[in-house]
Amino acid sequence: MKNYTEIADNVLLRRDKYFQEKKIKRKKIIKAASLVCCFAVFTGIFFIFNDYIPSIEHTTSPEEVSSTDIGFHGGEGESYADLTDRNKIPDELIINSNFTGEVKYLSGVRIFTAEEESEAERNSENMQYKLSFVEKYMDVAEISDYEIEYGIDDVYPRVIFPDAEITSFLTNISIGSSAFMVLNDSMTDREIISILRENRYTDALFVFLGLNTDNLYVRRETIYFYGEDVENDNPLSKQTAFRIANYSEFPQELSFNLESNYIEFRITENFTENSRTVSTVHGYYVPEECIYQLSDYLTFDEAVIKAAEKDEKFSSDAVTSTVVIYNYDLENRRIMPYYKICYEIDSKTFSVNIPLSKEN
Amino acid sequence: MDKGAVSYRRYLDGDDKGIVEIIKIYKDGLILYINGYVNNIIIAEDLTEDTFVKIAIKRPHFSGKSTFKTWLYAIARNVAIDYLRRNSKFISHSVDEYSNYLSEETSVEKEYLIKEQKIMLHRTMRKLKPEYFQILYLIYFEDFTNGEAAVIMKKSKKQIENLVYRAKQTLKSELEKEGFEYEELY
Repeated sequence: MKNYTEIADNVLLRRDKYFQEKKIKRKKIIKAASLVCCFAVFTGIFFIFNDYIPSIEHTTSPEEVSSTDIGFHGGEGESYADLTDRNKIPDELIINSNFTGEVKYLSGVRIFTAEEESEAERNSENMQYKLSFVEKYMDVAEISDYEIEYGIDDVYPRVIFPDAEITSFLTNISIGSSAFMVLNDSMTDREIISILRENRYTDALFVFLGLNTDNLYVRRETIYFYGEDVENDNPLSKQTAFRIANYSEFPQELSFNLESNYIEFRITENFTENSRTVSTVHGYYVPEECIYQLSDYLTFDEAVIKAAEKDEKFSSDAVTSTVVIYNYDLENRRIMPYYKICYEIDSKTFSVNIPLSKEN
Repeated sequence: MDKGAVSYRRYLDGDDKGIVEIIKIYKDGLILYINGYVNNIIIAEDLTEDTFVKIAIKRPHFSGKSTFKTWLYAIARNVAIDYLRRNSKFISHSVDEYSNYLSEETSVEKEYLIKEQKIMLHRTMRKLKPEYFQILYLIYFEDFTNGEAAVIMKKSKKQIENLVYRAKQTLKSELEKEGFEYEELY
């Protein structure tokens, strides 16, 4: 084993080497940039002297290239929705809402964010921008007793509510990267929705996004049951069912994640011997245009029957997951909610979309 | 301000002796803590060095909201986790290598843990699953509070309490298998 002086020598040596390499790298970049500049200047001079550049009168008129054209060119490839712009809410808003049931008083909220690099990094415009969302959210949620911690791994702001007490929850069995939900038979979709609606976080989130909590759905998924060997991908059995677990000593943690084009709240997590258990409920935002559809929508089971009628290959046993998505309906000229039911046959995944509305 | 924080301040002000002091104070504890993640004392030593290099190069801001030790252990944890992520597919050791590691580990144990009873406890803890080892190590060997351990392990206090409870239960049964009286150790 090395003693502390050896380690200290190594540390200082590696540090010096790092800074030296950085210096050399910087010099190389400057050198390369200067060469490129020189080359560009000389090429320019060469063209001018040889009269290769046609006069402006002979080229395209300046009106043909506008700033709008340039903007569209750059913007078309964007695949994520920006939460700053309320007009760009994603089609599928997942509120991974593990906080079903009553949430008791919480305190000592902590926000983790940013690689712990330097003052400059933490005060950068980008980081301040990201943090401002979280602060806005906390404001709407009327949570003032929070502090920001500059964590080590968290690139995106993540809010932890360490003292949140949840009186009931839903359990997800998560094996590998897939999560599957287990709900209580006695709990209907509507009951879950009403719990979500009453929850202070859901409310705050929706106010923050400028949305309405009246428009919430709950999704159902197929549950896979695995044996002792989690490495084995073949489930022992599977079923589509809703069940709720009683409150137990499961640890809870709510987090608010701005990482992607959806907002996620989650309670993590319990490690048992063979599986990792996470508790979540997913709520969906339904666009304003579809409000009237909500009074009478297809249940999941009804949707499965419709799917079998629509798609010959489809079998209810093969269902792997279901989400609610929103597609633009050309005929009705509005956004409509659909169940997107995914199923698997011979290791290939297929999906069938069934409108939620009973009218269709 | 604790001693580590003072030394770190000195290092940030340009005095290299500051980081040397930090290494002297925290080296052994960090090696044993990281060993709880990587299960290889040689790698744990390298990762401890990497942790200090990270601090020396990046000079991260220490806000003083937690103790310096908590902050340092949180960084070390991330270094260990990064290592595990990078090498998750390739970690394997031969039996010969393993016996070398054991003798190295024993010497660090002896230097750092001193008391025989603590060494036995440490060895029994090594048989527990990593998460249980980590939490028990932080609380019983490094004297971190539940709150500080929560910061290091990025968990809520409640999660830590539950984890400590479960870890203790498992430790208790392990100790009893070894013929120890659980109560005697605490």
